Amino acid sequence: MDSTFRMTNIIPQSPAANQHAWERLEAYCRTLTKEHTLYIACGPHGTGGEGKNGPADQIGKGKVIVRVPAKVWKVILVLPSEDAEPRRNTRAIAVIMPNDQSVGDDWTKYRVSVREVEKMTGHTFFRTVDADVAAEIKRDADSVKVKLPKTKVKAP
Amino acid sequence: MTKAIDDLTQAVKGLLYSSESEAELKPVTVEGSAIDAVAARKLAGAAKGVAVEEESLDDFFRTVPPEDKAKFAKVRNVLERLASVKVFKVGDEPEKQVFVLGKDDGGNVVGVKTMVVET
Repeated sequence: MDSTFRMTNIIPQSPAANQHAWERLEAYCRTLTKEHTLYIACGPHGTGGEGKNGPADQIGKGKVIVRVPAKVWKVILVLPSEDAEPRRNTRAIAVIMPNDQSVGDDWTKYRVSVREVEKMTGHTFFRTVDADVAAEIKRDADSVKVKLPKTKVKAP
Repeated sequence: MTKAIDDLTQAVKGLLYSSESEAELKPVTVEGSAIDAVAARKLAGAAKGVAVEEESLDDFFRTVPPEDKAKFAKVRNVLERLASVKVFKVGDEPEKQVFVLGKDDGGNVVGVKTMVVET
C-alpha cells in the first residue's frame, strides 16, 4: 500500500472518468476479488485531457508540471486463484477511456482487446505466459455481460 | 460576523484542501444549535437517506501536504478553540461535502466546509 500513495503513481484524471466509469470498474474488480485473483496494470496515454476547468495539456505550477493524458487504459487478468496458470479461456478485461468529461458510469462500452492496448501503448502483456495462450487471451474484447450498479445515490 | 468566523475566514484564505481533487475551504455559519448528521445533511442540501460519515480532526488534517502544514495549523488552531468540534462527510458518491463544525463563545455553530473526492 505504501507505494500506492505516491506522486509518481498518480495522474491527472478527469472527474467524470475518475468518479464514474473508472470508479465503477474499480468497484467491479473488488467484487471479482471475492472469488478470483486479479492482476491489474493501468496507465496514461497521450497528451491533452479535459477536466472541470476545461481542456489542458499539463497542470501544476512552477517547476512542478504534470502532463495531462488524453486517455487512460487498464488491463485486468482474472484468475481463479493466486497460483492458477492462465489458460486459453482465461478472462482478460481491457479498457481504454478518454480522459475527458464525456465519461459516464458505463465502463463496459470502453472494453477493447488487450491487443488493442498493446498497439496503443507499445507494452507487451503476459510475457511469461505461453505465447499461444497469451495470444488467445489478448485477441478479443471482454464480452461478459456485466450488471452495472446504479449510482449509489438513494432516492429522497 | 462573529470573531470565530472572522478568524476562520482569514485562516482559510487561499488554501486548498487536498484529496483526489483540490477544493477551497469556506467558513460556514449554521442555524440552530445541533451539531449532528441531520445538520450536516441540511448544510449539504442532501436528502434524508444520504450517507454521513463522522471523522476526527486528526483524520481531517491528515491529507495536508507538508508545504501547507503551517497554514493549516492556523486553521486547526481556530477550529480547536470551538467547543464540541465534529467533522462530517456527506454523500453517497466519490464526491463528498465536508463540514467541520463547532460552537463559538456565543454558542453559534460555525466552521468550515470543503469538498473531497475519494474513489
